[in-house]
Amino acid sequence: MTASALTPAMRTLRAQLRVPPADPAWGHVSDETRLLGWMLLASRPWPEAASPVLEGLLEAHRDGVEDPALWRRLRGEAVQLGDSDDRLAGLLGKVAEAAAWPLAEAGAGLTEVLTALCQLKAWRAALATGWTEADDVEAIGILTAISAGEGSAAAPSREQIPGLFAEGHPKLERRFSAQLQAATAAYSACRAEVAAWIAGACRRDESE
Amino acid sequence: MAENITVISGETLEPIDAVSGERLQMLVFSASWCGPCKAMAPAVEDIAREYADSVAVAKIDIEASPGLARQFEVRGVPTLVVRRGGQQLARHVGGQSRTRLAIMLDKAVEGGASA
Repeated sequence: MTASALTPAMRTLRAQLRVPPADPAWGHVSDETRLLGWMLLASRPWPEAASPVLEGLLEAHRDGVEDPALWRRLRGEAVQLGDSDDRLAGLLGKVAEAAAWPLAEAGAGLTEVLTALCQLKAWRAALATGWTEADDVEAIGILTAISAGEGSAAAPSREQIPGLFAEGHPKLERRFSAQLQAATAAYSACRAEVAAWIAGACRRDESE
Repeated sequence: MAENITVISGETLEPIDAVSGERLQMLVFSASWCGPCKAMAPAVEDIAREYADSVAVAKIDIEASPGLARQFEVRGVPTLVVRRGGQQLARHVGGQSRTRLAIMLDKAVEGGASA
């Protein structure tokens, strides 16, 4: 939908919903590529280390690059980012890894990006509750020990584990549950947003 | 299932041995209840097609082939085993992106992978 084709009603609605104007540089690409670009942009903000990698991928998709050597280089950069010690950068690297292939004939081209993007958004939502990487390591350590039955005669059943966690570490468990709830909601919202994008594209196709 | 993937539901690797020739073999151990296996399936299909000239891919359900799962010491799914001539060249437990799968296979094809 170009800006000039918008009716006043749609222009007003878009402004109210803060829908950004369509980037003319992406005007020539297919819906699949546009969606991939949209998912990459939805992974912002990008820290300094991630920015060149993700910008490079955006350009490659937008320009329809076919050179296998360039895609291999992009994959190498994505993996390097994915191996980052910082979890947030690592998750951005996973988004980059997933997007580092030309879309043509790739069945996993969009699903991998979707999964990586939702995982990134879930982690950001967890961090927004005050949860930290150190908290995560601590909680996983405790849950692993509980599930292995450390300090008790027998390993507990799966259903008993949350209760034992809450009993032994009430403060941490409360924060763990809060971040888990936020992360799960963000993951679902991310999937719903992509589904809405696709539904919108399909509606436009049907009306043409 | 993609045409480049051999599905094994018995206790021998004969189906993949019969079609792999000189190519590497990548065995993908999975289970019907395994979420990460399902999530990774499109990537495995893409990789099987992309590397069809150099790698033969087999999917093995650990419940249909418990003997093979034991033989390859599968303790979690998905487990990926890359082998040539009966020798294991690489192994990974857990979901893997298409990019990481490609890198693992590139190393194995070049003969640089370690078990």
